[in-house]
This record gives sequence, C-alpha cells and structure tokens, in this order.
Amino acid sequence: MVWVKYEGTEERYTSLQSLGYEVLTDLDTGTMRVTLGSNSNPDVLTPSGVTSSTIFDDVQSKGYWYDYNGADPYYVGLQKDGFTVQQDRVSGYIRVNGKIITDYEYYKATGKMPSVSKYYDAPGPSTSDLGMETGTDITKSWRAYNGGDLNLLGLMEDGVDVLQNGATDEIMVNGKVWTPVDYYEEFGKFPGKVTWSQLDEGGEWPSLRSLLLQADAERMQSATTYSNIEGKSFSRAIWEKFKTKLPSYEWGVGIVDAGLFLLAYEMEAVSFTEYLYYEAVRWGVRLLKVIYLHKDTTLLHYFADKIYRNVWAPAYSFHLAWGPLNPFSFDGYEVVYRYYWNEILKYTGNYFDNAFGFRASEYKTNSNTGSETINEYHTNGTQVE
Amino acid sequence: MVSQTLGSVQIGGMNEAVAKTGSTLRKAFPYALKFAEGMAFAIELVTFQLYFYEEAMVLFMRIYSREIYNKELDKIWFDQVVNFDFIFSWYVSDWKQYGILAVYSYNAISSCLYQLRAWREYGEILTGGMPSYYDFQHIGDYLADAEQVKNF
Repeated sequence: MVWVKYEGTEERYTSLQSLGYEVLTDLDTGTMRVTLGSNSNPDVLTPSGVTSSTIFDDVQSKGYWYDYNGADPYYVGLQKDGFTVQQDRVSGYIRVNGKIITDYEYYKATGKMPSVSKYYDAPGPSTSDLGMETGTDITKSWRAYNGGDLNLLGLMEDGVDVLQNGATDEIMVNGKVWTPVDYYEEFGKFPGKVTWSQLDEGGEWPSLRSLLLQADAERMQSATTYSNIEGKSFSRAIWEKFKTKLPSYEWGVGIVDAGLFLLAYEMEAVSFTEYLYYEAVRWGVRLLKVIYLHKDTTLLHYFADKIYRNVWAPAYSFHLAWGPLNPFSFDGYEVVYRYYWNEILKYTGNYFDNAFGFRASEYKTNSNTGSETINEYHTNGTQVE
Repeated sequence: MVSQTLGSVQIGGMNEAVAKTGSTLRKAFPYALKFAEGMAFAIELVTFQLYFYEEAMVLFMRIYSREIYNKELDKIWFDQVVNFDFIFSWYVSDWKQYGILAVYSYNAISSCLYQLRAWREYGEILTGGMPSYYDFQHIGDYLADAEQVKNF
C-alpha cells in the first residue's frame, strides 16, 4: 500500500481537507482514508456523548479482550497491516494497538459510522456467564456440578464424578457429556433445567438475599452495557434497569381505578371551586347591600362595577363553563347565582343595563321557583304590569 | 425441585419471566396512578391551606361587616388596621407564593381576596380615606368568559 495525500476534486474529500482533516488515497487500490489532521484538536473532536474517558478506562481494565474475528473491512485491513486488533466480548468495544476506537474516530477514518452489528460479531457467553462478579473466567472450565438436580446430586454422593460446563450448562458424568437421552436412560425421565450456579461457588445453597443481589447486579450490568453499546441515554439505561422492578397490574382494574379517581377528583374540584366563588359572591353582594342601605348611589355604582368585573363575572362564567362537570351540584349553584343576581339587580336597579349594553334587569328571575320571568318595561322605565 | 424454585427469581413481586415480557405501558400504569395521586395531594394541600385563611376572614367579616353597617368608625379603623391587615397579609402572601399550585381554585381565591379588599376600601372611605386601586391576578381571560355569560 502506498498512501499519498489526496489531490482530487471530489467535493466530499476536498471539503474535509478544508476542515483540516488529512485525506489519503492508496495508489494501489484507490482506497480512501480520512484521518485526523495535525491541526485537529482531539478535545474538540471527542463526541459530545463521551466527554471523559471514564467508560473507556473501565472497559480497558475490566474488559475481556480477545483477537477481533469480525468482518469489518476496516479492522480486517488493520489486522492485515499488522495492527493488534482486539474486541471486548462484553461491551463490544474494539481497540487497536491498545487504544479504544470510538465511533467518531471510526467515522473519521472510514467516512461512515460503524455498523451496529459489529458488536454482535463476537461469539461468546453472556455477561453473567462470564463470572463478572468474581472476576474469573469459567467459560473454558468444567466445574463440579453445583446445581439443584437431586438425581445428579445423588450421583455425586455415590462418588460419581459429575461436572458441568459453565458456558453451555452441559453435564459431564464420568468423563462423558450427557445428552438428555443419557439422563433418561439413567433415571427414567428427562432432566429439568439443570443450571450452573453462578452465585455461590463454595457449594452452599445461595440465600434469597444473594439471589436478589445477583439479579440486581446483572440488571445494572445489563443497563450499563446497553448504554455503552447501543448509544442509549443514561436515563434510558436507568429505565432499562427500573422497568423490571414494576409490579404487574391488571389493565381493567387499572383503567377503572384511574377513571373513578379522575371523575371523583374533577367533581370535587369543580364543586369546591364553585363554593369558593359562592363565598366571594355572597360577601360581595352583602357589601353592595350595605352601601345600598347607606343610600350612597355613587359609591354603590362604583363598587357594583368592581364586584361585577372581579367577582361576579369570573364566578358565573366558571359556573357556566365548568359547573356541569359536577351535575349533582350544578343545579344548586344555579339557584344560588340566580338569587344573588336578583340581589344585585335589587340594589343597583338598572345600572347594569347601561353599563354592559344589555338590559340586565330583563334577566331577573324568580328565586323561589327558579323559573325565569322576563320583565317588560315601558320606554319611560316603568314596568309593564 | 429445589433448584427450579431458586432459579426463578422474583422481582418486585413478579416472576422474572413476566417482568421481561410485560409491555412497558402496562408496567408503568400503576406508577402513573401514583403520580396523579401525588399531584392531587399537592393541589389539595395548598387549596385547603388557603381555604383556612378564607374561613378566618369570614369569622372576622361577621364582626367587621356589622361595624361597617353601623358606621362604628373607631372600631372600623381599629379592626381593619389590626385584624384585617394581619389576616389578609398572610392570606395574600401565601396565595402569591403557593396559590398557583392550587391550580383549579386559584381564580376563585383571587375573587375572594378582591371582595375582601373591597370591604376594606369601603371602610377606608367611611373613615375619611380615598377610593383605591387594587388587583388580584386571574389566570385566563375570564372577561371573555363573561361575554359568554352575557350572551347566555
């Protein structure tokens, strides 16, 4: 390979060059490669999602690195060039000569983002099978059977050598890997799920608490792994961990429960608000009554204006707009408001007829029956009998 | 078998298999209910806190309104400066700080405050004072609603 500086005119490369990136082309194959130029500031180029190398340090120290065996042409090419390419089988991170390659660096080098599937190129056991908690790799070892199958335990008590593979859960009895048929021939029934105990390698039965701690640790590991591999946000990772803790719930019961709760709550809220408005209207009208009895017409109109705009109008408009949400209290408050509207008309006379552009006194109602009586007036203001 | 029992880990009262297969919405539902109940509790807390001020003012107004009706000027002056202002300032202060959390009763309480302040204004006028301007915020355009009332 002979890498030389690209001197062509293709815009996607020239634009990168103008941004300070180093664009190389291979004279043999024509392959393009974009690398960080000498002027590039690595701090600036770090993708915003990864502002520190904490995650990488963690993966470097705890990862299970093995030689990369995926199909990504970029890494395969590096391997052919003699670079040491390794992949962590847990997180999927790839490092070249010991340095973890971020997606952004991959993009800078190849001009495209890495395929997500590269993380699953790696064969291998699951996280929990790796014995992350104890830091031991049990994938290649046969261990003494530590599960709960009473038949196998009985064999062990008889001195038979019973082993189990930590990665595959296969059972080996006296050096022979048992199939379910072997088990059937021995015990007359097929085996249940014979699991490797990953919790307690000492051979004792795990406590319930240790089981729960183990499940919790696995979910935490799972959430962390997901957030690293698939680029999920931190809150998403927390949710992945949290959602498994939610109790089950019956849909029908839940919907009826929520519906009744909201129905009762909005009815309570509406009627209580109407009650507060009623208090305001009641004392506001009482003030008008006192001024009316003091026979000060100017102040009466002054205060009637204020009370109408700031107490009556919001109260009655709320009553009309939201009161029907509680049909049980609506009629009662309707009577209350009709009564107080009659009171207002009684004290203010035809004041609102002129103030609001309509003959408010025509809306005077019979507060005893609740029925509306339209009063007719002559042009001189006297009522039609 | 013992091992099979231990292998099925219970998570939050739910079998592990169920925990992994239930839909997200289904599992989130009870928590949404708890959230709604928490919101309702906050609203009720503030609403009743302010309602007790309203009750205190009503107790006071039974005396104060009678004094105004009888034009007992010295009592009016004393009561509105000492008692009215004492309760009312706490009432307004709490309403301004927390009233917005009361959500649905916010406007109703501002109407209550307004008519109380109107009583005090009339008391001031009786004791030689001047008409004064005051305002208590309403959420929304209730005057537009009042137009609906007019057309009703």
